[in-house]
Amino acid sequence: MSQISWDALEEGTELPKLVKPAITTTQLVKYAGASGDFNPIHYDKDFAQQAGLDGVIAHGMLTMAFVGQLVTDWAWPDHELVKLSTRFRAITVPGDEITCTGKVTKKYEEDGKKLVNVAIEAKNAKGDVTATGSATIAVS
Amino acid sequence: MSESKGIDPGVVGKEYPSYTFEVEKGRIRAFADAIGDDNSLYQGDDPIAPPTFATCFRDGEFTILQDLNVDLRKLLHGEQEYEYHRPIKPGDVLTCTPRIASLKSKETKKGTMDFLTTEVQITANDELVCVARSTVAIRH
Repeated sequence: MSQISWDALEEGTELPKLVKPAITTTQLVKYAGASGDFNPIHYDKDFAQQAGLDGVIAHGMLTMAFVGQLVTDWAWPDHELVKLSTRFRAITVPGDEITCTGKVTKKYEEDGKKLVNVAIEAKNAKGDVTATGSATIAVS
Repeated sequence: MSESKGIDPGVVGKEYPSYTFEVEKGRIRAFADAIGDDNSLYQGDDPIAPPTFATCFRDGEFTILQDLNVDLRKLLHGEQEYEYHRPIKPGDVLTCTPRIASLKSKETKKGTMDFLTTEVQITANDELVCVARSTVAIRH
């Protein structure tokens, strides 16, 4: 259900936060299959270690999927997602619990559309920022 | 003389052959399951795809990485951006056209890194559906 009302939106409005269950290696294998990203760094420990890592790491795009879910839980299906971007800041590994938060940074009208920009952060349980993102939503 | 095996800047702007991707309901469900998103929009007879589902058509990016002889062990996904023109849904036959959008070299604590941005234009029946931009960091 969409909770967005254009009039009530303002800079600083927070999105309901999204807490994801701990990432598992099984999830990474499922994600590799579903997304088609078969870089062995995400499921082959030997390969990951040859790359200088301690073990397998999560797909950055899995974190971006969580960033996307934060936004779609808030805005879909009533409002339109115009743009979504994510910058990957730190490695995520199996066992990490990722929490995404977001808040409105800009409310404006352009080409007859009512738009908001949202800034997003993904953090692990230690509080490290693993990704930052932004989204633009056209509010109906 | 530098011994850098960096990527030749002359490749910027290079376009690669288009390829098609046919969107299937089952793939959308498998993707939603892998990212742990139980939004009802991704279920049922008439679903749409989660925003980062567009990563499933990243083949063109891997074609580019292969063409440039990039070692996947030396690569990290730095940033991803999507511009959406409409949601992706089952039955869509998407035409994806990849190109190399930019290449920058930067000195970092870990040595020289190449930041390669690829762009994939995704259309259906000549109508723009989505533009995907991906930036990867490559250690020399």
